[in-house]
Amino acid sequence: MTERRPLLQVEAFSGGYVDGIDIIHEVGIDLYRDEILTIIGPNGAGKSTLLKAVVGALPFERGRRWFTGEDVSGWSTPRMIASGVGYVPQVDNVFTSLSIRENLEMGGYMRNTGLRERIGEVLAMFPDLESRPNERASRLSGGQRQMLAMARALMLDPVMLCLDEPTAALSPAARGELFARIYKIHMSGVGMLMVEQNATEALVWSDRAVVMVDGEIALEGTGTEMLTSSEVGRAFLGQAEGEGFTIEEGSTL
Amino acid sequence: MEQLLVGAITLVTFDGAVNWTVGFLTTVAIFAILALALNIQWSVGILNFGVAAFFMVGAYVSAVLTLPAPEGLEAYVAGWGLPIPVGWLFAMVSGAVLALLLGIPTLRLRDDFLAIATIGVAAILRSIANSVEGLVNRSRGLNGIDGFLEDEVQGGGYRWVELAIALVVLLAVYWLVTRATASPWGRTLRAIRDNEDTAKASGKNTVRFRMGAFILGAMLMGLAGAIYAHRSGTISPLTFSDLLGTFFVWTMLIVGGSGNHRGALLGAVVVGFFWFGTPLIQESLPDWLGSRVFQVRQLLIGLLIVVFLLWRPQGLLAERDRVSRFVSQGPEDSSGGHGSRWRRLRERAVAQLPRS
Amino acid sequence: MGLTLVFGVLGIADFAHGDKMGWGMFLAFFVVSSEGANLGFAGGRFGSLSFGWGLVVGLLVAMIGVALISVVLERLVFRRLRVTGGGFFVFAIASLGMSIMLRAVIQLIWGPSNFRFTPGIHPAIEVLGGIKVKPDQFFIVGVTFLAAVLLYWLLYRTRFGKAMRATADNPGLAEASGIDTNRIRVGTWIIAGIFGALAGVMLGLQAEVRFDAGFRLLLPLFAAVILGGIGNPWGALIGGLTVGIAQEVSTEWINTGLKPGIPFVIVIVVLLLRPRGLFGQQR
Repeated sequence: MTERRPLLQVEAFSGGYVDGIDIIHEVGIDLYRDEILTIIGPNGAGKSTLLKAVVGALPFERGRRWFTGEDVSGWSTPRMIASGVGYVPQVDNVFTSLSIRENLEMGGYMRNTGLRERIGEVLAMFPDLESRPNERASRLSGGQRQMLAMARALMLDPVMLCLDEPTAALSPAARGELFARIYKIHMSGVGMLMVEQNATEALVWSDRAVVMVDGEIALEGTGTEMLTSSEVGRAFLGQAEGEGFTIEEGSTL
Repeated sequence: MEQLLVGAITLVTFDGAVNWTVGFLTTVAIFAILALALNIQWSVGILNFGVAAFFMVGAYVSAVLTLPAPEGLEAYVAGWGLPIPVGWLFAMVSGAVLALLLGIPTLRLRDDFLAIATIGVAAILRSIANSVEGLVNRSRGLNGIDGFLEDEVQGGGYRWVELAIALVVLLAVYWLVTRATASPWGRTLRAIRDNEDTAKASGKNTVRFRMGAFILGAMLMGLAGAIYAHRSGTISPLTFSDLLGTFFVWTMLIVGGSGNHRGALLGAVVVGFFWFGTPLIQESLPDWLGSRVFQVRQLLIGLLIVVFLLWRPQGLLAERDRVSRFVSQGPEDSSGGHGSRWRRLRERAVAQLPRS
Repeated sequence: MGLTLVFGVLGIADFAHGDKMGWGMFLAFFVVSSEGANLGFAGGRFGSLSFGWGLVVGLLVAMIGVALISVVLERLVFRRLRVTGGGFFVFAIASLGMSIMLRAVIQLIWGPSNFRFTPGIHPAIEVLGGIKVKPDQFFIVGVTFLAAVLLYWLLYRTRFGKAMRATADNPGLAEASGIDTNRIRVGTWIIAGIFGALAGVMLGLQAEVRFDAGFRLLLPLFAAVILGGIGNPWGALIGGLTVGIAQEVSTEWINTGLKPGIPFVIVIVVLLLRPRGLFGQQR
């Protein structure tokens, strides 16, 4: 059996939007290609910031990150994107004034060949989009927009996809469908790093999860462990999110 | 006013120098009022590119109200020979009315539309004054406008009175805007400028507050126009060009430092000295430059705006304790360079609020 | 149309656009007038048009020149401003400052006098129903229409054009998709500059070559852009036609001197009724 090597490694990573004011502190995560890793935690814990750091969209960073074994510390977003990372921001993640097809073309802007074919492949993954490629993105529903955003990020054949709260503001039914799509894409060989507010549901689909509090990783475990952990359950899943979340650092499961 | 200054161009005698300085200070005081008024508007994010329009309306209204009835070739409305303070009052009222008319359609909309509308209203007012017969003498302009208290003063001392009038009004305006800025009303204005959404969320009717600031500024601009008209005695549509009436004032504000009333004053003096001082050195310049000095002056005014925006956005006098609207709100990713990251961050924060 | 492009794509209300047109006009004039004649290509005319190869060369020079000016200003000023932040207001004021500078330089070089591309009277020919049209005017209308088609094709059918629209829509996401937004911005300025120069030359054909001709046109331009919906080339074309026709027709009823006021009235009416322009799209 060959050694299982992480797709993404982040080590002792700190950074923020303003020099000197760190939002995440000394964070370390690994992601393997065959897993879905979900970051949960209360509002303001630095989850989205961590995701941005991974794709090189954070203005100030210290620490190291590796991607497919290569040291990519300090790489800019376009460079990360080009090397196989797809990024779906939480808001404003589609070009609303462009059509579905044009959105995908923009997603594949860096492709030199096979643009047309890839658009066909990506569209085939999302029947809702495939049926009307010339529709303007502004006319899509929330769930369809999220799918378009993912489809756009898939245009460059990424090996890893970073999703920032893909199910925020979606109805339960739409959430279920979206998670299923995410899972399907994952099964085709894409590592998934996801930030989620709908923690219980996300954990069901996740292989592994980390809990972030105040810019640090407070807990780490498999999805099942997290779901069954009384601590997480009491503090995080059962109650209103982010309220009364009191886990001592270093506590184990 | 330029003619006045050019008339005093030879500073060879002591009297000449004194006269020039008095005239210069009077003019600068009037422009300083404009700069303060513009600052009030700018401080709530109103981009008024039509200062000349309000300046002009004030000047014309006060002039036609205080002039005697037209004779001979003259053809203008009113001409009731009213006392000059009444003219001033109506100059302010007319500025306010113009602001109200302009503000109603545009203040609710995108910021840029007001800028376009104001630059347009200046153009249309000039063309009305120029082309409608029987309104304000068309391009002949209005002449023989009385100076305030001119009859009471004998001999050549009147220029000192003019200076005193301009300075007293300037001080009053300065006091007013300082008080206004420090009041709860002013604090709200600042809050609106810094973050309109938050101000809205805390229950402030931002459109009304911005309209208030727009009108206040417009009234003061009208007043400046009236003082100008009675001081110079002659006004014509040409006087109120965009360059002198609007951009010049903007340069003062940007050079001096916006969001700071003392900065506006300083800017008026510095830029005013640069502008009105240029003709003084014209004769001592080599011919190739001397003959083009006015164009060079215009070039430098534009350059001043750009240079200050780039290298000293806070102006000569930085706004105390507060971040000026020109100053970066936070560091930007230099490779990215899209200025909306912070806006999107805030929007994201709003989006994460618990939904009711 | 150049203006709507910059306005829409870059979010900058370019108050210097009018003066860039002025530059286009004067650069072409420079080529067509004596200096150009000495180089040997001013001779001859096309049929009944009032100009010949000289103007074509002049147009090319103007396009390159204005595009260069735009790019230099983007590099020196706008890019720096974007990094230091400040937003729309700062851009607007900066472009106003540049407008003043550009105009001052035109005056420095060519002085405040008026010129014509080609001296002499160009007779109008009669078309249907006794309406008299100058051949040049046919040419202008044709060129304008071609330019609109070209711009539409560029924005909606080419990769670069789509990337321009994407950048306009959401610069952050464009960058996250690997679009080099700085290159897109420079490209936008170049295209806007080319169209500005074209408009300036056409304006010079139609009217006098004057140092402030471009600036005088700024308000009608903004009116056309707002009327047509910001960032929409067809809208700008139709908006421009509407504003132009309204201005000319209005002289039937009102004082000619008030003509400059018409675009302003149009702007206000449009803002009151349809703030997004006639063809504006709901977001």
